[in-house]
Amino acid sequence: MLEIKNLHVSVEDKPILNGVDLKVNAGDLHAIMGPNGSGKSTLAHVIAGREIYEVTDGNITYNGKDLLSMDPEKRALEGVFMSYQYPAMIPGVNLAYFIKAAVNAIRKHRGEPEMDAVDFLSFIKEKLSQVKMDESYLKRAVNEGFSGGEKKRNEILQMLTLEPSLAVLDETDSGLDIDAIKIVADGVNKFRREDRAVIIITHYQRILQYMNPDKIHVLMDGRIVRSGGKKLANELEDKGYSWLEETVAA
Amino acid sequence: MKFLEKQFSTIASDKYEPQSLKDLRSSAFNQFKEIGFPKKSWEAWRFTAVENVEKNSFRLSNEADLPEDLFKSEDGLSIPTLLFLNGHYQPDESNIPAGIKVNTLVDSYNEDAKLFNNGYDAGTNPFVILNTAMMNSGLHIRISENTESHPPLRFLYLTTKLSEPIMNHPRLVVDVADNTQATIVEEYRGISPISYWNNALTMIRAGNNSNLHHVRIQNEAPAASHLSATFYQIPTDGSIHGSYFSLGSALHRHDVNVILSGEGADITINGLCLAKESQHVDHNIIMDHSSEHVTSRMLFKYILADKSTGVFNGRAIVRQDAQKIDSNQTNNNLLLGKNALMNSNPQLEIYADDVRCTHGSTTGQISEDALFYLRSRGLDPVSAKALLINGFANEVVDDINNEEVRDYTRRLLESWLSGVTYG
Repeated sequence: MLEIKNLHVSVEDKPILNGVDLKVNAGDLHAIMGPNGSGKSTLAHVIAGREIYEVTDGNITYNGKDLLSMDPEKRALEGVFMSYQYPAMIPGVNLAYFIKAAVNAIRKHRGEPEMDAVDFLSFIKEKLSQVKMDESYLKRAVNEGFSGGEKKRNEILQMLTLEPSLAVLDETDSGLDIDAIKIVADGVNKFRREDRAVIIITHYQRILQYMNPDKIHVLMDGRIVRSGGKKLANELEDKGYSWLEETVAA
Repeated sequence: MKFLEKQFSTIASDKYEPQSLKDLRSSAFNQFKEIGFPKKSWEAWRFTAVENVEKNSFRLSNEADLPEDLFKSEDGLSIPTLLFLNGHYQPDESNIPAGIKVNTLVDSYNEDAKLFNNGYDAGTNPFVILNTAMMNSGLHIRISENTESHPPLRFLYLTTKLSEPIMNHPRLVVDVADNTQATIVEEYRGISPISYWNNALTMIRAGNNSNLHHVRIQNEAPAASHLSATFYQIPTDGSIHGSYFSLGSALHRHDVNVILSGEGADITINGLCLAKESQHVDHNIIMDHSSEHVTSRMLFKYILADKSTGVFNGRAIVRQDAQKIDSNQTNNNLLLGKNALMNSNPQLEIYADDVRCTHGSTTGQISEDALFYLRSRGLDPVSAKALLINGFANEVVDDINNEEVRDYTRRLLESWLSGVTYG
């Protein structure tokens, strides 16, 4: 589904990613781990299409198409979704209006009829309950006054409603207590399907205890330095990233 | 100035007006001539030039300016409406609900000569003084005491296609009875491609324990100049809730003077100002807290596209004996154009010591983070920007109490947004 080859990315002429290779198949869940500043979030933003990240070399294909040539909205319409570590606030726009606009933009792109207010309400209510949010959130301005945990649940809510093919979750577990992590993990597990892929970017292996990653990759200094199974996450938890840093340097 | 002198002689020769009114006009006109048009060196006019009116020549509207086909209002706002067509009140085209008394200014003046000078101080605003000299159009409205809320009432000042530049100096006086709730909509709309000038003055005198919603919509033609002043007098437990929208005219200046004169008096004024091309929109608001336990809030939001310019001057005055005041003024501005410019100046002038007064001002562009967030959810850049701007504006629009009026202003906003350019 997603194939990244030799990806080099700079921000304001400073190289962040120095040749990332990654292949994710439909049905897979991959975890990308790494210390702060290793380029994890940059990778997520490049997949989503943020312009300030400049791709200096390499390419990304998504379902056989050149992802980098698509505008951010085109990527979203084609089924790419990113869950933000720090999602933006949209003052004055309530959550129901925002999600309905996004759902209908995607339905329109797929050639499906747009959802009216009544259908949308019953559709969104069911999704809200999956992430343990009550209906009062629908009337609140998007992310305004939301706690860290509420913002993350809201991101997972959007993933469940927009039903993308590829979901990239950027540090969705950071700053969450154990109950909130379970809710997020549960949302991801519900989302998983044979025709969908998930990339979960995280600093800690905690959240991985609640899901079954097919592969774990360690990103350091803008490169994937190690890939392995779930065991790798446990090893990192025991020995820390410094263990790998030494191995890589040697 | 010459065109004004010529036009003044026309109005001064009116044979139906009582001598005392003629004298009032003459003295005001002399005062105006002494003061003259505002200059940039005046503090309150530093950022607003009035060449549009000073350097043009306008004729006072007369019967010949009435269009042959009388306008029928089909704008989707079906509330009772009093229609003014090119400055002329059209009683036959107006709908006056029960409980509302409408009088011409001259008739009201004959009843009570204090009508024009009671309750406000023109100060040195030359356009207010000029309105007294030239007022050629207007009404005195009395909203009678009513236990149930009155239906909303609109004053529609419409300027149709003109054959030459005209001016009008409308005056509207609204008296609200004690213990009464009402909503009025004061709307200026124009379609004339030829320039015209409206110099409007509205006086609103709230009753004790009354509650008035005042929606003001300035949607004049792009070639128009709209200068205006509003005076609010709010006695004990009276409350005014103002919602202002300005989206028309090349030049817009609105002076607002509020006197909170009795305990429990309260005012909220929210404003949404939309400007594009080289439009200029200026609000100069003075809130005078002259009694204890009065409250005031103002929230003004400007959205400036292209090379348009905005000015916000808000001044909260708290008199020495006026303790326990709660006053807040906020001015938030969104610049859509690289060459758009905003001058924001919220001020406090406090002579009492036990008060709570806050003010704040922000000016910025559309948030790149928010824009990207929406695009990454599948919205194209134009829809995403419209959504963000709507979000910015909603706070003012949502606050209108009457649903039909709220929807009407929302349509005006949508229509403005559909024609706006970024950058």
